[in-house]
Amino acid sequence: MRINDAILGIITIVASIALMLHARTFPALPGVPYGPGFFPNIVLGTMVVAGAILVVNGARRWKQTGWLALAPWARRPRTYVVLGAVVAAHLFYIFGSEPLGFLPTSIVLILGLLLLTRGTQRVLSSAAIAVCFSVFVYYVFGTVLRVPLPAGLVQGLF
Amino acid sequence: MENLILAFKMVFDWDVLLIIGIASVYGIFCGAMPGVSATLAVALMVPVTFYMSPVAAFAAIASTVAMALFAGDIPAALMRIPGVPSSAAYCDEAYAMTLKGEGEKSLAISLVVSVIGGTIGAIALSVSTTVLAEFALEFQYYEYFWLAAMGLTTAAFICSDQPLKGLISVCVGLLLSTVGYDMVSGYPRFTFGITALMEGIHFISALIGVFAVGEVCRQLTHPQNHQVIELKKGSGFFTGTWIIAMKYKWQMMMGTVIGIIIGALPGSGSDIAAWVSYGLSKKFSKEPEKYGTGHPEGIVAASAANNSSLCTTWVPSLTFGIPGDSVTAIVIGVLYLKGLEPGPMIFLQQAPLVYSIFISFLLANWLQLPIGYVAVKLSKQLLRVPVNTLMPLVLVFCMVGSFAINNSLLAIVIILVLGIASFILQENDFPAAPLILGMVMGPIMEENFMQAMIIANGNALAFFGRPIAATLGATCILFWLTPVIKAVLGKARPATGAAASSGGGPGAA
Repeated sequence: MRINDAILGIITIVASIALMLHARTFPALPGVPYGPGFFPNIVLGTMVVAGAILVVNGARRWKQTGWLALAPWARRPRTYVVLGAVVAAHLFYIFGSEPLGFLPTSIVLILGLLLLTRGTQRVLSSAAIAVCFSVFVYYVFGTVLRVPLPAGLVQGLF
Repeated sequence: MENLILAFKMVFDWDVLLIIGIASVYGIFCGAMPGVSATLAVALMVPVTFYMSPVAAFAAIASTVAMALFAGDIPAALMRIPGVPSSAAYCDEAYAMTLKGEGEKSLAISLVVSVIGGTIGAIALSVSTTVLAEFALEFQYYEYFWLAAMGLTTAAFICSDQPLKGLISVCVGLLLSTVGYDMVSGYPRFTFGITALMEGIHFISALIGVFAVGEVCRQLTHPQNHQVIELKKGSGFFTGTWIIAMKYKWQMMMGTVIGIIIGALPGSGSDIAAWVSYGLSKKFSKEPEKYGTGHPEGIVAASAANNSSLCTTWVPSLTFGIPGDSVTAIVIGVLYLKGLEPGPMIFLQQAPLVYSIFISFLLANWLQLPIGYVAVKLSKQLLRVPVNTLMPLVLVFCMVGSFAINNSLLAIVIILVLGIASFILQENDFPAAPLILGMVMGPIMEENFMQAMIIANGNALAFFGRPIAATLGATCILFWLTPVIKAVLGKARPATGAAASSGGGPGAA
């Protein structure tokens, strides 16, 4: 999904200016000539200039490419289903890992993603992969490396 | 001399050798996992070092880091996901080689060159600690600023085909590094009221998000097919690689020297060294157009640099107690835990221990050859696993790895946001790696820039006042002006062969 450079440039300029306005609220220490907003403002200023050049470049090519050029894979609805699933997986982990625990969350997450990517016919092998991998990660990270992965529902079972 | 012999006896003890072996395997595992990096590996190992003798503890850390830095090249080459930040410099190049079927060759080159670079680095560490330390003392705010600027310039302008988008990428990285408490005034910047953001965004979370999650999205939506061409048994792996290493021996030496010098500077480590070597090797190369298509020259320079630099990052740590990079920051903690005080006296009071660290580095580098060989052969099997099955597993690694940094669920939000953003940006030709370098270099650049500006009272000429600063500054500005000069020259000569450069000029600059 190639967005025309002009649009990307405009987004860059607008975002940079918005952040520059926000950076004006950073209070400087009295007596220190340069406040916390000094360096971010320089970086944001550079981005505005770069964004402007992008707009010029993109406008030049507008006739050929239009505002959006979609490759074949980007036209398939499945692409967006997969991307949505990746986002959903992260959200599920963020909200589910504490109440459910790492093992159940991970198993459900991997199983869900594998069913999507490999197809719903191979439920058994996907479930096996999900369980084995989750246990492996829980052991290596949780037990050997002592990362505090939440135990949740399986607390007290081991 | 007796100290050296004593040091040999301390290292060549069965316990220590066994620990070096185990730590090496652990290091390879951690470096090769996309969600874990060398810093995290060492941090997670610290509690285990409580039970070890000082010699064993430092030998373990040295081996882990040496192995992890090479092992980070494995997922970089095979999946385009760097395992450690320094592999991000040549990640695209290595992956391009894998797509051509030369994945094993690329890893073999990384391995052999890493061993050579690391060995020279370990020797440099042993014989020239005082010299390097004195040189490091010459670096003040201006020099650091220009070093950081040079690293970012090579990443944005030299290493990518689209300098403008590379510049924006670097700026985004610099901005992300400013999130959190400001170091001068203590004011929380860009946190928008979110408490968890006050600590800032950790660059490893950003690395995982930008590279790993972004790559998972790419591979699941439009996977690229790669062949697996096996290197012929025995003949290709070491001998073929040796021939390539000798072909690019000047690049390898240049990379090693850059690594040794940059590693010795406090605060700058293997990531900057790898970037600067890759960029400089492209600038001085006879075939710069081949970079990015799967050309080993850049990989040779950068691999040598990152392994040699990780040895010399111990110089400022041992001599000043100032961390050379994130790993040695942890090492300083372990030094104090073991009752040792970093500083010039450590060479007098604990000479055998210091020598034992040097010897451990040499051993760890040589051990890379057999262990790395096995790792590369095993990892090739990874290419046989279907992408559809592998990517969800990588995703879980990413979540756990980023969670493990600070035990905070914010990390997972960060990898999600940066992952989706990186996916969209990379589809639009924004290079991802400069963003990471911007995040790594942001604190160094800002801190030194602010201190320099406050001290010089806004006098810009002070940035060129000292000889090293002036040299670095002039080189850096030359790099900045190169695309502009190219664009101007391209327009001035519309005939003969400048059709390529004028076509590239307006689009690239």
